[in-house]
Amino acid sequence: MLKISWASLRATEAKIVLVLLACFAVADCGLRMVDQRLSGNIAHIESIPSLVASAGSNAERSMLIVGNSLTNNGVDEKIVAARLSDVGIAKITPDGTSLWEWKCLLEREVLRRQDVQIDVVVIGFAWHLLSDQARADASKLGALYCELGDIRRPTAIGLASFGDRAEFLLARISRIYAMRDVLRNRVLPLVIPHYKTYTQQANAAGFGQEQKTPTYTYEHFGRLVATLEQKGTQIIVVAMPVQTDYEVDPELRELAARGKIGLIDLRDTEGLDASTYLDAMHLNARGQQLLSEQLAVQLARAIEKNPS
Amino acid sequence: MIFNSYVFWAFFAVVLFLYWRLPHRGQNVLLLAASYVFYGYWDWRFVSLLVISTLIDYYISHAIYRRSDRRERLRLLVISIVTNLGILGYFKYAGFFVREFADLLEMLGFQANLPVLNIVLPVGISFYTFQTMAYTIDVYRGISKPATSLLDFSLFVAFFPQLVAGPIERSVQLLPQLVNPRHLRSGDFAEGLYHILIGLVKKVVIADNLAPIVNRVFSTPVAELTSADVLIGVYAFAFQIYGDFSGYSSIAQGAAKWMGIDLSYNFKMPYFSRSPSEFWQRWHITLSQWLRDYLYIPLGGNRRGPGRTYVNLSLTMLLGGLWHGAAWTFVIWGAWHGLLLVAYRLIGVEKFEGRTSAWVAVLQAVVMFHLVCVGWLFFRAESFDQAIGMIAILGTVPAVTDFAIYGAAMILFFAGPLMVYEWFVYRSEDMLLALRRPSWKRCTAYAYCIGMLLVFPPLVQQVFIYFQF
Repeated sequence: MLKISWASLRATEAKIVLVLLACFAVADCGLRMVDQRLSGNIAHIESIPSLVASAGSNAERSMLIVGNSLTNNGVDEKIVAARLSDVGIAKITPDGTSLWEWKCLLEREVLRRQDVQIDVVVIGFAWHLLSDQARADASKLGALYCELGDIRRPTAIGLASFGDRAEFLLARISRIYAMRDVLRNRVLPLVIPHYKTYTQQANAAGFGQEQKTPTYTYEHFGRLVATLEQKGTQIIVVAMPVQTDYEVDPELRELAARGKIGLIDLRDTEGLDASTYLDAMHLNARGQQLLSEQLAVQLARAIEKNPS
Repeated sequence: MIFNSYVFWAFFAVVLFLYWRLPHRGQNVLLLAASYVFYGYWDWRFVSLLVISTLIDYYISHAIYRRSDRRERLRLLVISIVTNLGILGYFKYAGFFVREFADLLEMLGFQANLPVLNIVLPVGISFYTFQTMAYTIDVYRGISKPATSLLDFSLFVAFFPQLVAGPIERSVQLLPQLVNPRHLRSGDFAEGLYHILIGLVKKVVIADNLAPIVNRVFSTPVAELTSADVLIGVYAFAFQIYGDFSGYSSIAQGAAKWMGIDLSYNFKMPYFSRSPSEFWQRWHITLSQWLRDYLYIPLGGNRRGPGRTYVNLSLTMLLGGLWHGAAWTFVIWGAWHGLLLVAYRLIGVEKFEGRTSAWVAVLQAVVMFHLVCVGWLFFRAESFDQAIGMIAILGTVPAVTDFAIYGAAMILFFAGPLMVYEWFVYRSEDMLLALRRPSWKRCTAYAYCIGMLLVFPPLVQQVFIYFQF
């Protein structure tokens, strides 16, 4: 057995910690260089600034279609663009996003950017994804969607607890930590048989529990609408169809009734049935075509109503 | 404030920063204030319980020490024990016994209109109550002298790293360390880091990643489970509870070490035990020793013949089970371990603890692990019927399901490396084995721990299981 005296151990251990930190820093830099190849979602997020720029140029009007996988699977922006011929459209639909990610993205890409002017933002949502009670993923907010300065107003980006703020900062510093879901989902299916099946089942069970939140408010979304309005950006929200029923919250309806936002309700789109879904909530190609055509018609009407 | 939360580590960083800048008395004042903040973070009202328990035992221990009359000393000790057990009994057991009494009355045909008691259990009450009781008993027995300073004694009761889930420290071990000035010795940083890293891996990586498997098996109706599902569920729980509880103890030990304080080992590779008596020398060691010194030996221990020894063992384990919670499943868990201790003694305990060939030793450990797992079924089950139903399923023809394969792979991936390391620790009988390995090996081990903590934290954070006790 190798004998190490306690006196030398403290110095050795400090060196070990430093070496480890250096190793993790190198690994972190390496991951930053390849993370787009690890995940299509990350590649999409990285491309958002150029997508926004492309929508805001070479067209009379510009439109962003924002959402998560529901909107990504549900809306074909080419079908919408064919109907709205004079509108430059970009679709920004990172997975697993809701109010807080969309808020950070829109503040960063629409409000703060001086080089582009977006006229219309269309947000696809379901359930309570636009409410103040939407779950904030502090890691993703810190690493992918928000700017470091946003931590100065934590509640405005959904960071309720001290833990959320710490997670935001740690994810900002460490890409390995921020990308842990991606890494986990890459590694574990290779070594754990049926990993995806049972993780999805566990997530679905957790998702069901989250639906018990009592009252839904729209204070933060209302503020976002107001600030975008000041920059001349109109917001239209689209209630997306899923296979189970859900209600549009009264506060969101009230915002629409007061003319602050446009509300397009596509929950009961004609022609959509079980055969047009891939799973409980995501549309297949046929469903996407049906929904996109319907959305294009409704968007054309909404824009005609508010041509400014 | 739990050890696997950012708020705890921010809190600890501030405490540690201030701690080493203060003189000895200032350190104790800081630690006491920090301990009350730590405890009050759950529910500040329960800090009063901590203070009451502290004041009672401080003044009673002094009164015991000053008196020479044996009956008077005993009367004072009884006051202390009754008060402590009274508080514990009210918060932990009153609701249970009222419910059970009402059920009994109804069984006998009476209309029972007893009030429903929804009493919130103060976190860690069983741990600090046992610690203060042991102190007063030790003073009564003349094993230790009462603390001369209320500040030091208050800190002994409330010292935050071990306050809510142990180790249950003895006054002779912890109090002198609080009374005397402390210094960060060479090696303390390394040892603290080792305990904290391994503790976090046990809790965050192992216990919390296995929790969903356990929850799924124990929330599925028994009729829908196969024998393989039950087996995987109970194996997962065995590693979950070990990771959870020993992880907490390890982090507590590491945090205390960084403040120059040694806490007792609470776990020493229990799943390699070859007999029940060895298991209880390796599992929740400070509780086992408490039960031995303050219950089993006063009952007569093994001094009054085999029959009485068996009764004493069974009674001690039964009460040890009840210590964990007010539920029959815990009582049965305790009874099961009592039964194992008696059965191994009847067979001849030396056969299981003596020198045997490696293969026999492995077989003994495998058998013992499975006997412990039977106990875990009762410990984790929602009801006695569920536990019995699951044991009955274990007797059916094995049917390997996709879920069982998934669960087995998860256990191997998360708990496997730790078990391999613990096997080497068990063989070497050196709890700090990793610290005596070359730098590059330590570096690799730490990189594994940090990498696992960064990449494989659980999908849902879990609280420590033992907080409820």
